[in-house]
Amino acid sequence: MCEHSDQIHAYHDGELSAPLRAKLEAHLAGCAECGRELNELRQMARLLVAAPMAQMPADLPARIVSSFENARRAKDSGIRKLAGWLNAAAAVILLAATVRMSGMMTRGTEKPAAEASTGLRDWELTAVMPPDRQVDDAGSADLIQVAQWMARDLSSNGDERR
Amino acid sequence: MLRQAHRGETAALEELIGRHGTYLYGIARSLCGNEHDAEDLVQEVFVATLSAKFRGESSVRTWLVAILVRRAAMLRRSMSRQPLRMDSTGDVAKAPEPLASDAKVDLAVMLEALSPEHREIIVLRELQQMSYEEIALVLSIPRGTVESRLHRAREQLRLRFKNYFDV
Repeated sequence: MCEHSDQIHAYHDGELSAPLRAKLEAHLAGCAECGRELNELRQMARLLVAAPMAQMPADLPARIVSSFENARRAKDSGIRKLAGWLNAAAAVILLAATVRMSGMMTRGTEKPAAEASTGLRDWELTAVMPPDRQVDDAGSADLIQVAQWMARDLSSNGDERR
Repeated sequence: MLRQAHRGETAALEELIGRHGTYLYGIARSLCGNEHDAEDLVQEVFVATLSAKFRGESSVRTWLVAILVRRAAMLRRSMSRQPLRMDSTGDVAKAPEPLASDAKVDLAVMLEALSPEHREIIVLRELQQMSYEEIALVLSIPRGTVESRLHRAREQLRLRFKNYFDV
């Protein structure tokens, strides 16, 4: 096998740099083996391009349209559902952060103030609020009010009543 | 026209299918080796355009063929529990039998003796005229692997179709 034969494919595919291409072309002028291989590559390419292809079944276009429309409707529906879930998740995160902040600013050793006002169950509040924090802050009342509203809104599945 | 199809204009979609569907089906049939998988594959290609982004760097047909080849590879991986005709490296177990020069040859027949990996390479290089770099991107393989697979695929084809060559 000629030492240049490994370059024949790249040459045929136009993948050789200009200097290598020039060098190989000079070699091809005098190498029958490489010339034959290149000739077969070209004939093979022509056979492949000219080969007839299988015909599409007559009903396939209609099935493609149907699949496409179904997928498009599913995609639109999925986007709306995802937006709904993201909104709910954002509200829960905001509630947890707000309740935690109001708990951190509330004096008390017994029931946290937020729990007494919102009616939230003990385990829900203690899950987000550290115990026994003390603070004197005029803004804490507003935060507690916001937390109460959000807690009522999110838990309005029959357990809570507005 | 792609944008029109995505906006739900059925006529635009039908036009796209009319322009490219037959070609895609022919390629799919050659890659899959059977009609049922080829039909499913073509449907999946058009559905995939809903999510894939056409950047205009190639023709629409080339873009669709690239999606098709990727989908065919995914289908093959999902069916990998079935017995394979070829080993996992893409090499044939034995040399293909040469066809008689008067044998009827269509693209599916030409490629049927090749492994799935070799069929993909031949489709992208010989039919789509993609560069080695483009093929590497589509198939997510190194450029060196593109060259070696192409070399082996062509050698297999050369053995099978040597009776078709002018001496």
